[in-house]
Amino acid sequence: MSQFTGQTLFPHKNLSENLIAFSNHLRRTSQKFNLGPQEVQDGLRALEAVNLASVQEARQALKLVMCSCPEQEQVFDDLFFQFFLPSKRRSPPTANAKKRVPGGEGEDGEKTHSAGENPAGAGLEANLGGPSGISKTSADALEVSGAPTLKAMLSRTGSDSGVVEIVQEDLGAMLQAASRLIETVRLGKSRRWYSAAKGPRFHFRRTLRRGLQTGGEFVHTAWLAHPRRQPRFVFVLDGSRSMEGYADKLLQFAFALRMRSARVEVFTFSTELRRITRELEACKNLAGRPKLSGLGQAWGGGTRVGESLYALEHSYGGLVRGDTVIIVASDGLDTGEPQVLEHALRQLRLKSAALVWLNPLLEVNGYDPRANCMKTALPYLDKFCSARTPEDFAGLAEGLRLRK
Amino acid sequence: MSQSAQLDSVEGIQAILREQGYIADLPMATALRLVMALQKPLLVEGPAGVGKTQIAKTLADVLDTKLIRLQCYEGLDAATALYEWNYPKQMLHIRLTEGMRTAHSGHAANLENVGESVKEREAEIFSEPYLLRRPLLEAISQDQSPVLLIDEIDRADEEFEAFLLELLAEFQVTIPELGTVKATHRPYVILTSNRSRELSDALRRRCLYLWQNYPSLEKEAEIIRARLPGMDERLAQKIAAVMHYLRELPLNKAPGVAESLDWAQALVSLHREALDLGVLEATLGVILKDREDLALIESHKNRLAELVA
Repeated sequence: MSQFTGQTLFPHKNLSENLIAFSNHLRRTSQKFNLGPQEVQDGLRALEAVNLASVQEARQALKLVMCSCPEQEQVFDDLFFQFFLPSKRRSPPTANAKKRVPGGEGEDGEKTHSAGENPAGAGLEANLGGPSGISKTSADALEVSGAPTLKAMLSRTGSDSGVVEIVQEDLGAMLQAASRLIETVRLGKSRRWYSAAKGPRFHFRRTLRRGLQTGGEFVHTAWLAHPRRQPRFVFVLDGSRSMEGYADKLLQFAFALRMRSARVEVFTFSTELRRITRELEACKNLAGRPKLSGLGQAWGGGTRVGESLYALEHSYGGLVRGDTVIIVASDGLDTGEPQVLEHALRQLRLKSAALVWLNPLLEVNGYDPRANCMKTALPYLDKFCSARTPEDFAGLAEGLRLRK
Repeated sequence: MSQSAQLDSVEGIQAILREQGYIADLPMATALRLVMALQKPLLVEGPAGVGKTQIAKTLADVLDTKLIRLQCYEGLDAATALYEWNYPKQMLHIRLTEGMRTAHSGHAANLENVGESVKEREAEIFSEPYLLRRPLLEAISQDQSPVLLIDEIDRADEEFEAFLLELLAEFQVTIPELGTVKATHRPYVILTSNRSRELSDALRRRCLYLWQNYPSLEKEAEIIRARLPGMDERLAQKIAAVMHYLRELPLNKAPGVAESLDWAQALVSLHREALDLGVLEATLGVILKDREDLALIESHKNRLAELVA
C-alpha cells in the first residue's frame, strides 16, 4: 500500500502545500470544482481524521470534502491519481465507459450518461417484441467496436476540444422572450401556503398578533392561500451536425431561459446527452464572450434522438416532474431505433406537464414530419412547431394545454 | 478495543457496522468517520432505493443516539420544520387571563396599566410552554448529539433550502420572539436527495458529498446475508444476480436494495431454499410494482431462468 505522506509521490514538500496545489489543479478542470480556503482547511482536517498510510482512505476523504456533485465525483479519482500518483495513472475514462471501479477497491461503478451506450443494457440486446420492443442497433455495435473513430469522423469538431459560443446578437430580445414564456405558462396551485387577503385557511400567527392590539378580540383576521406553481423547464437541444444554422439561436434561447429562471435545466446531445446547466450558469455574468467547451460527443456529430431522450429519462428522470415543460429542439433526423424514442417519449410525457418539440425543418417547404422519426414522436407531443425569432420563442406557450 | 476507539478509524467503523448487520464500503465508512470528525453535514445523492436513508439510521445505531427525521416535500416551511406557536393554547390563555383581569379590576383600568399588561401578556404567551418544537429545533436542543436526517431535500422549495443554510452553517436558529437558540450539542446531519432538482452551491459547499449507487453484486449478496444470517450463500448470490439484471432493464421503477431484502425475506417466509422460475414468478410482485414492468419481464424469462438455475 502506498504511503500518502511519502514525499516521493508528491510535487511539494508538505501536506498542506500539496493540498493547496491539488485544489488549484481541481479548480482549473472543466468540472470547475468550487474550492475555497474553507474546503482546503476541511481537506486537511479530513486527512487528519483518516489513516494517512492508506492512499484509498485519503483519496476517499478528499473526495467527500472536495466534490459537490456527481459530475465532479465521477472524475475525482482520475484527477487524484493524475496529480499525486502520475506513475500509477489510470487510463482516462472513455465516453463509452459504462462502469468504472475507482481505485480497484470494490467501489460501485457509476453509469455515464451516454446515449451512445446501449441504454437498457442487456435488456435491449435482444429484440424484445415486448412493450418497449427495443432492439440493439447496428450503430450501437459500431459504438462498441470502433465508435470513437467513427464519431470523430462524423463530428464537426472532430475532437472533444470543440468550443461553442453563445451568440450575443439579439440576446436582450431573447431574454425578454424567455421572461414572457415563463410568465405565460400557467400551472395550478402549489401545496405551500402564503399570507393573503383572502384564502381557505386561517393564519393563526398573524391573527393572534393582530388580536393582541384589540384586547384579545380577533377583529382583524388574516388568511393563508396557495400560490400559483412556478413552471420548470427542461430544454433538450440537438447540437448535431444537421442542426448547424439553427442550433446557435436555440442555444441562445436556452441560455436566456436559464438566465431568467433557476428552474431551468438544459441538455444538449448529438450522439451523447450532456447536461450543460452548470456551464450556462457559469456564463451568466457575461464577462467576455460566453462559450461552452468540451461538449465532446454532445455537439456536432451524428444524431441519436431516441437514445439521448432515453438517457434523459433514465439518468435525469427526477428532473422531470408534474410542473415541468419539456422543450425538445431537434430536426428529428434520428439514426437510432424508433422504439427507443417511443419508449422515452412515453415516459417523459407521463411525467411532465407538457412536451413541446421545436423542429426547424417545419419552415422548409415540402417537409413531411411523417417521413422520419417525427412520425413516432407526434402522438406524444403537446405542441409541434418551429421557432427562430424571439417572438416565436415568447409565444411557445400560446395554445399549449398543460396536462397537470 | 472500546467502541469509541473503534469509531476513530474507518476500519473500526466498518467493523462495528458489520457487527450490527450493516455492510459499509470504504466510501460510506469514510463518510461516517468524517461526519463525526469534522461535524459537517453529509449530503448523499443517488438513485432511489440504494439505501441513502439507511445511512442516517445506521449512524444513529452506531452512536446509540436519537434519530430525528425531517421528511421534505413541496411547500414545507419553517413553521413545520422548525417551530410553531401553540395557537389554541395561546388563545385560551388570553381568554382566561382577560376574564380574570376584568373580574379583578371590576371595570376599565387606567391606560398605562393596560399597556404594561399587554407587554407582559405577550411575553407570556410567546414563551417556552407555548412553543411547539419541530424536528430542526428538536435536533439542536438535545442533551446528546442526535442524528438529524433531512430526507429528500430536493423535494423542498428553494426558499426552504436557503432557510436551512443558517442552521447547517452555525447550528443555530433565530426565533424572533425568543432570540437565538444555539445547539448545545451539534447534531450529525445527513441530507439525502434523489436529484429531482439541482441543489444550490451554497448548500453543497456546507456539506460533505457522497454519491451512493446500487451496490455491487457481491456487496448486495453480502447485505442480504448480513440481514438474513440464515440464508444460503448461493441463494443470496442468485437474488443479487436477478436484481442486478432487472436494474439493467428499461423498467419504470427499478428495484432497490429494500426490494432485494423484501424478496429475500419473502423467500425465507415461504421456506424456499432454492430459486427457480416458478418461485420467481410467484413472488415477482415483491420486486416489481408496475404493470408495464411486469409485462416487460415476460420477454426476459429465458435469461431469468438461466440466472436462477
